[in-house]
Amino acid sequence: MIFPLDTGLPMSDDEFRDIRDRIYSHCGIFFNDDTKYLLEKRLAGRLSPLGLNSFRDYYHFLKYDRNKDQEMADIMDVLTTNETYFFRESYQLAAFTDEIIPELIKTKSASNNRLLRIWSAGCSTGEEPYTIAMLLRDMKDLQGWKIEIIGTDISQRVLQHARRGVYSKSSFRATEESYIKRFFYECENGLKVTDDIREMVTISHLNLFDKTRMMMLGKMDIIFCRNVIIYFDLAAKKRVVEEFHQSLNDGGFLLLGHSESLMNVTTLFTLRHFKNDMIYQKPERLALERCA
Amino acid sequence: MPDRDNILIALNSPDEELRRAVIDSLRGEELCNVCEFIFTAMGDVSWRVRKEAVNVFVAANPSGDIIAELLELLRDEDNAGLRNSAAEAVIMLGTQAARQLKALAGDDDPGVRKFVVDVMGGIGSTEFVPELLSALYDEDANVSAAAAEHLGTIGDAGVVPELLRALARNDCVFFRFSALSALEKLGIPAPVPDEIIRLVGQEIFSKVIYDCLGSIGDHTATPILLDGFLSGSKSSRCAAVKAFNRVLQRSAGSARLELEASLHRLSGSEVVTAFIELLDAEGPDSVLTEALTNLLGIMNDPRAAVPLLATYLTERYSNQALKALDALGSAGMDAVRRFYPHADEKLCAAICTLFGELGYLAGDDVIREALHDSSPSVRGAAVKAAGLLGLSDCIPEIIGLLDDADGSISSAIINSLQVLSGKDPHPVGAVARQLAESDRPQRRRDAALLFAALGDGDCLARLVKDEDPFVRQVSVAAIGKLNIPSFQGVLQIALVDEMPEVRMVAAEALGESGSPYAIAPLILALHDNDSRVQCAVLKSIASLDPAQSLDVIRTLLPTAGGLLMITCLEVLATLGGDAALNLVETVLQNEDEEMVKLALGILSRQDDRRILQHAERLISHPHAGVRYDTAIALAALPGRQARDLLISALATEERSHVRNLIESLVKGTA
Repeated sequence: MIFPLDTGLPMSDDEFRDIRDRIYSHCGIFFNDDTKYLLEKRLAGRLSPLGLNSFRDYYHFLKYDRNKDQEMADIMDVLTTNETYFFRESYQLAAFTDEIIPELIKTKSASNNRLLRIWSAGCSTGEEPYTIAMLLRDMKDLQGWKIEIIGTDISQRVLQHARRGVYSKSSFRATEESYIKRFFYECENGLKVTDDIREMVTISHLNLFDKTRMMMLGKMDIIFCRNVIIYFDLAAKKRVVEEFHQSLNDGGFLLLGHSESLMNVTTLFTLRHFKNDMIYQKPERLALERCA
Repeated sequence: MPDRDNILIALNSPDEELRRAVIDSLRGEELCNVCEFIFTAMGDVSWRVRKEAVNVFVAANPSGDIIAELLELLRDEDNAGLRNSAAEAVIMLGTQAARQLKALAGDDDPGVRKFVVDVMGGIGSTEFVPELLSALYDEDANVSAAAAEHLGTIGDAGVVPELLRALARNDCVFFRFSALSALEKLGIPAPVPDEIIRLVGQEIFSKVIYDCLGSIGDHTATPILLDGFLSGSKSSRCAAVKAFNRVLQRSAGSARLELEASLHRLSGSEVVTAFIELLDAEGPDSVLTEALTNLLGIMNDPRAAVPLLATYLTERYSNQALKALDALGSAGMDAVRRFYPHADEKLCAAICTLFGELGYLAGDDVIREALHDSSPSVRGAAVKAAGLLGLSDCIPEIIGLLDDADGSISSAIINSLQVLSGKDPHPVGAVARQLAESDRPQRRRDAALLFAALGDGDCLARLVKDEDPFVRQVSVAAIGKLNIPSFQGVLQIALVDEMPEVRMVAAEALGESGSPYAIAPLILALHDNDSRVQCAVLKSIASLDPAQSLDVIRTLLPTAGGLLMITCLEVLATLGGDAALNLVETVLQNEDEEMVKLALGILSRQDDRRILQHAERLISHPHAGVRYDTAIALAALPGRQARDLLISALATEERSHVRNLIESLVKGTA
């Protein structure tokens, strides 16, 4: 953004509440009263291109215009926070490589199942799914396994970036030089992820409030959803996390951001205390069947 | 009937999921049959099991006897998890448990009394106010402090006098903290009470007193808060700053002037330095940053200018910082100008934008230098500022930047050239003609914008025939702004363009033309299949011939929906008068709640008596938003009938925000 300081039309409290509720019902992202400035500033630039004179007109556009769905998709690009980097939250990644994956290898091998499916929900510009791919690429015990890593996000703009796989300096603040040497090469606008890593990752558009599209992704062994549900209110968190529960295989893992908890959201997941981190897990069906 | 032995085995299992699942399986069972298992699970070592037990218990809608049994769990001294689960369950039950809770309010055990007070506060009903007021004088400080705290949470303004009395009588520090916090939460503005003045000067209460005065104080709090600006403790200083700003925000007239004058007198003092030290745009306390920004602006000390730049750069505070920097005047901008050579890329761009926004002409040397900066964002900001400052001698340099400009800089360049064309049209005209020949549609669009600024209709008429729809759209809109009668034919033809965006601006342009000959084609264009075009057409007809627009709307209303209906209502609101309002009244029957709300709003403003005959239906409308707006409209009406309708609505209203509004409207506090 070249001119982030431009002033726009003021948004009244009523307009804020109506637009905020419209966005919430679309995707679950909740803007509390304290963040009115965000909607005011980031949506101000939408009025002129649409030929609208006020945020009230914009609300009516979002509700009634035939292009409302496209507009809602477009504003996700400006409303969602996308700042991320490779190898973020290293202690959690240590739990992933050293404890979770070995456990899954053991349990899945026992049933001769050599498919590992991992979903990075809210993957932004793709650093997280590519990090996962790089980590798994190094694991000898996974040789011969089929690995599917799916990265999804609601913002179409960041997905283009993720698919391109080209990153600048700020994405590498926590990346060891050895990874950069092995899995990136220089290109015109920065460093590009190598093809073998990109092949392991599929990037796709998904609104976490879209239950049908979520089901179409199929069952997962691990879901990464870090620093995404912090933008949801309790009801939306509950809805999304319960969908994650549906999407996970029994015994599958849900990795949230370090500040996120399921306390008061749902009792569906058990909290596993690993050496490196505490991780939520979908309980094995065995316990439920015993109870039944 | 569940199998008792299996449940007990499951509840004693080491498997947490099994224990949780067995409790979940008890949903729907008669509570009296399964209560013992649920109560056992409420004391489980796992929060998941405890939480499930609470949810199952509450969902079972327990009777009074079972609630009394639940409350007995509050006495368990060994298991904190059990006590907390019981308390959580009672809070979730709400006033359903009021009778049993009140009975326990005088229990011998202070631990139980404390739980009871906490639960009453957790439920948050005014029904518990008498018990909580009594508990202010409980011999146990934990109980009395909790009672004060929860009186603040419940928010009944009537408790303020008793809280102040208790504040004076109870000298327990812990209690006084809670009472002051409660007064802060209640937020009933008043001159500083004597009971609080007596505590001023006791360092331990400084922060909580400032917090409290920020919420309740008026200008009489000024001397106390000014003292706080240089308090030895950082948290107290921050509290005083925030409090002063809150008092200022809700002051008006001479009181506000007095507050501002007291700040202005601090210019040049060590308070400004102290404020600058506290200013942290990246910090977690946004209220503090907002307060400091605002107060520094009012103090009018130029030393604040450069520190405020970081705030100006932060999305959250930029508008407020702009106001503060504006208030610092030329002395502040001079300080920023001197700082420019030391600024990084982001700040350089911000400074250019600032100079443009504030019209700081003495910063022209900075802008000229920034036009050659290596950073595109600095160049872009400088281009925009050059336009705003009217630096027409910079036109050649600005035009030179077009060649390597990306999208956002390019639009800044065109914006600037549009502004500067008024001062020096020749170079702008030359570049517009050059752009009009470009292969890139974006460039031709830019040309149309420049021709519009130059008032060059002939060149625009050529661009109206461009193959790119956006070039046509911009050109048609521009021709409309020029208002040249000979171009009406061009606009009429544009009404049948294949792109709705072009048709829409053509309709708007015809409306702006003021020509009566435009009405006939516009009437035909009402049949357009795009609702936004229809809306533009209707607005234009209304501006050209208001009387005819009423007839048009009369035919449109029965079938209109969405944006077209909204436009019909907007036009009717502009027309006013009985005939228009009769049509608005019919919309109160519409199925779309948004339309009903809009119609209600128009009638409220123009003839609110019309609402009364629909009020009974609207106040029980299925959509809460309509009920909310109806309540506001009714409250504005004189007479008994409207008030009675509001009172009777209270009996049936289920949505809390509507109920709260009606309650406050009836009390006259909204």
